[in-house]
Amino acid sequence: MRHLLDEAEKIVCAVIFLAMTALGFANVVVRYLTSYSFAATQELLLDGFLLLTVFGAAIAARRGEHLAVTLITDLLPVAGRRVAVAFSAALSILLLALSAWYTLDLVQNQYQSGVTSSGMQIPEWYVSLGLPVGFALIAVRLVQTGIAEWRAAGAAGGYGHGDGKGEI
Amino acid sequence: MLGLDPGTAMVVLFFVLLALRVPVAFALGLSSLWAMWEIGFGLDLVGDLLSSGIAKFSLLAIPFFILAGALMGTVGIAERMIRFFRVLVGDLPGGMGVVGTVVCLFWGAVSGSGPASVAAIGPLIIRGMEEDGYPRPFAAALVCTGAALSIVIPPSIGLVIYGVIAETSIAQLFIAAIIPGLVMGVLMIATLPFAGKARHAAAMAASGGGLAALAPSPYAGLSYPARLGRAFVDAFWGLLTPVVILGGIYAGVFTPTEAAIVATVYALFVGLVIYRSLTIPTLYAALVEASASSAVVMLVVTFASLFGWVVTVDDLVGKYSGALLSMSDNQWVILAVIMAVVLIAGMFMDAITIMFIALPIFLPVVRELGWDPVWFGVALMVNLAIGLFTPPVGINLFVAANITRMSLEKIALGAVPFLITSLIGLAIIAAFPEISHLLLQFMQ
Repeated sequence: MRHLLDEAEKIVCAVIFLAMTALGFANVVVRYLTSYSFAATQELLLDGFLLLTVFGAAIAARRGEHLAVTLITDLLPVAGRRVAVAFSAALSILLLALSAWYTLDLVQNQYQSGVTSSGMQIPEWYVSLGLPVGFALIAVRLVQTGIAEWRAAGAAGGYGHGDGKGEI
Repeated sequence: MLGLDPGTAMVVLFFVLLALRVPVAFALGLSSLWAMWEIGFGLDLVGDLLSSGIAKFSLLAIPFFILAGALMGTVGIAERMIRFFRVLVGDLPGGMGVVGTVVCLFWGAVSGSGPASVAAIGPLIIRGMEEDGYPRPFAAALVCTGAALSIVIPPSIGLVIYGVIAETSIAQLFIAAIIPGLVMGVLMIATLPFAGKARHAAAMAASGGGLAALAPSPYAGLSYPARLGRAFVDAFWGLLTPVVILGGIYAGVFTPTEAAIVATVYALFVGLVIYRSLTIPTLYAALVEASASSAVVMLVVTFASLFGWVVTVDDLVGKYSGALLSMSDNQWVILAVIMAVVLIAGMFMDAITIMFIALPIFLPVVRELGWDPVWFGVALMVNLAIGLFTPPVGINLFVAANITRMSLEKIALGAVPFLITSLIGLAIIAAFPEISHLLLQFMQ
């Protein structure tokens, strides 16, 4: 169970990504063989993209891979580094809480107005709901990483550099 | 704040947060929300802006190009490609240096991200160059420089994002960037003699012809044509990758997003059917890895959409681009200023953030002066590529330091000759838009 909780967003992302690949490829093939294109698949791909982004961001948050400039705070003594870790984590979590709040607002509006997607005619809020949930999950993962970095900040050497996997 | 207008204060706040180690994406979001609160409107649009900031079809190319690159790195294409080019050009003066450069250029046509390329092909090239007598820091620096060209040579995630921001055809950008990418590669090869030729020559002599010293070749004892043939057959599927990815775009059959999807399926096909090197655990790992990498990029894009909204509403653009235009009557001076700003920014920040912050100011200038946005995008990307391997914050250097266990300073020092030739390359590409237009005109 513990393992499953830790892996949750990874499994979600892997499944979504694989499904998007299959769907996207089917769309390309069908479009070029029959010159018939369904708007619904494009819509599904973008829905998947939305979820892949927020849940993938949770994976990256758990690994401390979100791009940050550590150049200046690395120069600080241990106590200063710890303050920087706590400060940046607190501000990041504040932003994620606000993002979750505003996107929840979006979900409520979509729910009340009953707006449906143009391609598949399903209620828009189904997918939008993934946004506040995803932002909340990123915040949870940041708390976990923040605690680990707080400990690591006491050790000598750099911390939280990630390995540049997310940068282009 | 400090009597500044909300837009300018937002930019200042962003840099302060950045310095305090707040991740780029969140610093963008926080400073934008603060500015919206200060202006007194826009907060009710945040949910919409966040959701629509992600859901763009052209941006969908990003996760798929990243996944395709991750799969290609997993299935064993890199080794075979390096072996082929070693047989093909390894006996030229420069040996593995030439091989390393050519593989970097080729891998640039597989991957759209600099650090991902360093991780995928770096260890193999650095080991090979070292065995060929090159100093280790120089070899690592070559990989950092060559892999940086991944964001110039299509597919390029940087060009996808530029295309979206500048509302320019991504397919045209991809075509225009090819020759400039090759020019940069030629300049890299021209840098090789500065590696410390004496050591190289000595190593060549000691090993009796350089490449024999490398790990035992499966083609030992064969004649040159036979070796070349065998290596080509082995590497065939890898060598075909750029054709699959780019061919469709150039032929006008695929959009870049569709090409990215096809590339992913192609990588799956090679890994599952041809080489059978892809297993369920490695596939899962590649999917998770690509999800995280793509999300890091996309989260910056997402929160940058808030930032962009404020920049537009507050007319920050008009103020700063006006100032830039009034600096000189000579457009070359303005171009030089823009390029210098990007070069310095590239030493400290990542390419995507620089584009989101600086392009709203640069693009009106580009339009005003009648510059071609395609050429400007290509020159900008070459400039941003240099930023990937310049200290203190050159992400390729970090990755190379990680895989070689050398210090960042040592590799950065080794990169100085490449930095000089790259700057010459940037000047050439910026000064002669014809280089970027060559292939586009040819295709018409």
